[in-house]
Amino acid sequence: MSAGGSADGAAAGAVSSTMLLALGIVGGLLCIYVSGFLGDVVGPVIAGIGAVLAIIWGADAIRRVASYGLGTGVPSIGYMSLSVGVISALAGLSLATKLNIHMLGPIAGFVVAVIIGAIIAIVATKIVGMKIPIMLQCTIEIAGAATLSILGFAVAIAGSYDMMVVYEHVVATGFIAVLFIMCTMAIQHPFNACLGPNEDQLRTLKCAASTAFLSMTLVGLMSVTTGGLGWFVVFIVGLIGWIVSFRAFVLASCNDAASTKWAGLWPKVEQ
Amino acid sequence: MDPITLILFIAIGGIMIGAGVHFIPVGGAPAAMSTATGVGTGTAMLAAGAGLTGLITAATMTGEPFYIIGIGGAIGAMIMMGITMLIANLIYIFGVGIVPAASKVPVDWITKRNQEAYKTPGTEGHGVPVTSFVSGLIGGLLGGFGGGLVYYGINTAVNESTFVTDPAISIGLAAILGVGVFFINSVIASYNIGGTIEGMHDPKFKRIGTGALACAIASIVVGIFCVILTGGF
Amino acid sequence: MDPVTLGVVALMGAVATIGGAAEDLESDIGSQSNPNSQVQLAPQMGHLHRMINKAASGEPVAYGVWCGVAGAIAYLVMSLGMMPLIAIAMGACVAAFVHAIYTVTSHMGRIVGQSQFEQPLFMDVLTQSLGPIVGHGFITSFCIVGISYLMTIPLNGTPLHVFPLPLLAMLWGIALGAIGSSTGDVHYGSESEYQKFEFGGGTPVAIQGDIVTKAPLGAKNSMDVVNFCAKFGGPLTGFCFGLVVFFSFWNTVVFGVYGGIIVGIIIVILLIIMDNYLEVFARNKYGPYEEE
Repeated sequence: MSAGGSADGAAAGAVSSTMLLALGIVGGLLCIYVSGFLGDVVGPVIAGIGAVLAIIWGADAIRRVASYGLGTGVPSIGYMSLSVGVISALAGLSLATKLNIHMLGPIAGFVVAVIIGAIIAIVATKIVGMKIPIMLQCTIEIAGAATLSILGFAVAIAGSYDMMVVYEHVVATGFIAVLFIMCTMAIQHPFNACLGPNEDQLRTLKCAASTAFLSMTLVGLMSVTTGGLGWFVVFIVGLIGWIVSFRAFVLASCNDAASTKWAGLWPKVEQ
Repeated sequence: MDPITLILFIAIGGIMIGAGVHFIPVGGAPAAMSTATGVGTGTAMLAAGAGLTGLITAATMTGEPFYIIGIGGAIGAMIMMGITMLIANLIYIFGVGIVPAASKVPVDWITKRNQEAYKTPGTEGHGVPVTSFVSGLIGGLLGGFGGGLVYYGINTAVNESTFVTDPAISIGLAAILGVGVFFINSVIASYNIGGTIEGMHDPKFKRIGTGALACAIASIVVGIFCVILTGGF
Repeated sequence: MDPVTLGVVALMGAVATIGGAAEDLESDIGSQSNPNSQVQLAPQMGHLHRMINKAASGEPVAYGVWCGVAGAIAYLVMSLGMMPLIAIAMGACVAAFVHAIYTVTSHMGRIVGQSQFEQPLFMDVLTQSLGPIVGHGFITSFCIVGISYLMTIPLNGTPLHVFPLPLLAMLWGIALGAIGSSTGDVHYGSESEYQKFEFGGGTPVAIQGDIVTKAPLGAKNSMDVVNFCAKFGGPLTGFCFGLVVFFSFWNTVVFGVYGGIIVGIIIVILLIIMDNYLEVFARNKYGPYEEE
């Protein structure tokens, strides 16, 4: 339980959630598919950017559902959905191989995530009795974002969304676990970190972009042995994206703070 | 392994994990301030810590029959829970200077000791009393055994299928899916108890049936997709 | 029983003890996990402070990330042919960098998120605590990846464990985070934050949020917290994690699969007896709660 002062009720924001949803699904899927045609230098970068878009979308969905107060803190729904995401991503790739339709993989993973996410949310609201009106929609959204982010990064490491290649370079080496926990952190951290009565959607999204690009930088490092020059491009693009978004977040924070000080005591306030 | 057996392994494992979470005494943030009985962390967090320790010890038994892998996981999770609660009690007693006391019952179920008189007024108990301690061990047993079953089921299914031949891949798959099934069930169960519980003497414990049912449905669905994943349908 | 394997298991226990202690001290400086709810609550109750307010998820997930990243980088560097010790140190370095960034975002985010209570954003607090936080984090991820590496090297032909290095590092990181947040943090949350109230009682709901904000000299900061917790909470957390790692392998290594199971059950029964003894001791020594 994190004792936050966040208001109960739907969280409003400057950026429309529908736009972020569209950006996450279409952008994420498109980037993963397009990366297949672009060779091993540009391809991984595009896949990584797809994952970044999905993470930003997921962070916004977490923000909407966690504003209601889940009773167990913000991270819980994050790692539940990411677990759905990792299972769906792998199931999607396997299904495509089983049916022998190579192109089906990412979409199938996304659909599986929607199905599992929906059933878990229905179980949580109908059987367990959670009273959060947007639970269904948000769990589906976070699970979908989780699948796309894990798939995007896995494709960036393996260089292809072919099942065997992903299994060999991402599952057998254990990187899948790191992707799982890193995406969990990247998706649930922004809202958890910015929580409070003065939380602001734009600042949270800037934080989301910085965590997403940081993950992309790390993915760049992780693909050193598999890709040719691709890893370096992913690393550099991630690093530049991170610097830009992190700078924006720090500036926005210093701007919005009650006061920013480099020394001294707190001001006197009336009780 | 045929698909129905695999789904059964995952569903039974999931139910055990979900039921186990109900036994683990956690007080959430208030317990870290000695304001509530139980271990001072989140339900899903402690369950995950114990269960994943169980998964590590279960996997050292890879190659043994399923009950040995399950028991191996159960022992690992029980030892982790036991040592953690013992050290937590050491800190409560010598670092904070309080006597473990439950608030939901006037006398301890197992030792029949009075709890009310030892409780700080204005708190909902503190520390891990003996009933909560035993309850936590049962939670570790169920969670570790369930995690071991899920790991065994997926590892065997992948090994037997012609889909994947490299054992490194099947171990990696079984481990990450075990972690996934564990997290899903422990979070659903912790939603069911609303984040905190004192152990098996807590009135909230009566909701264990609901929690087990919820975990069963979720695990069966996950199990169906795990069948696809391991290459058979 | 094979003496080399047993020695490696003992070494793992010792390394885990150091890592566990460093983990708890890191979470005390950074005020991570559950006690942080009070640091979060304090400004709302009119108690402004100069503490770090780091909410980088719960400790288990956070340490899963740091150790997982360190493990992945170490695995890669080793596969490029570098010496394991250097590879693990490089992995821990990258993890420390990630740790620093998450610390900055969560501290700034949480403080700014409650600006309506006039809580200032102290940049000097952040810069002076960042070094110790990252340093302790480095020690922790180095130790965790170290024990995970010891589990994966083949001793006499078979390694202790079948999982790949990054996966093991992540799992142990999550387990360590769960242990750290449930043992050592109690010392910070119940005692260090409420030191001005009398020793020997829980924290009543009525005084929650009224944390200690002043030190003997000036404002209390997160360094004072770690000085306090390093004397009891940190070492005990390390001891706890060391025991967990040691007993996860010791029984099967010494007594085989079936003997190990029996020994494990005996250990669990011994733990119940010890806990009961401890409770009886506390009840006799302290007696029932007496109000002044």
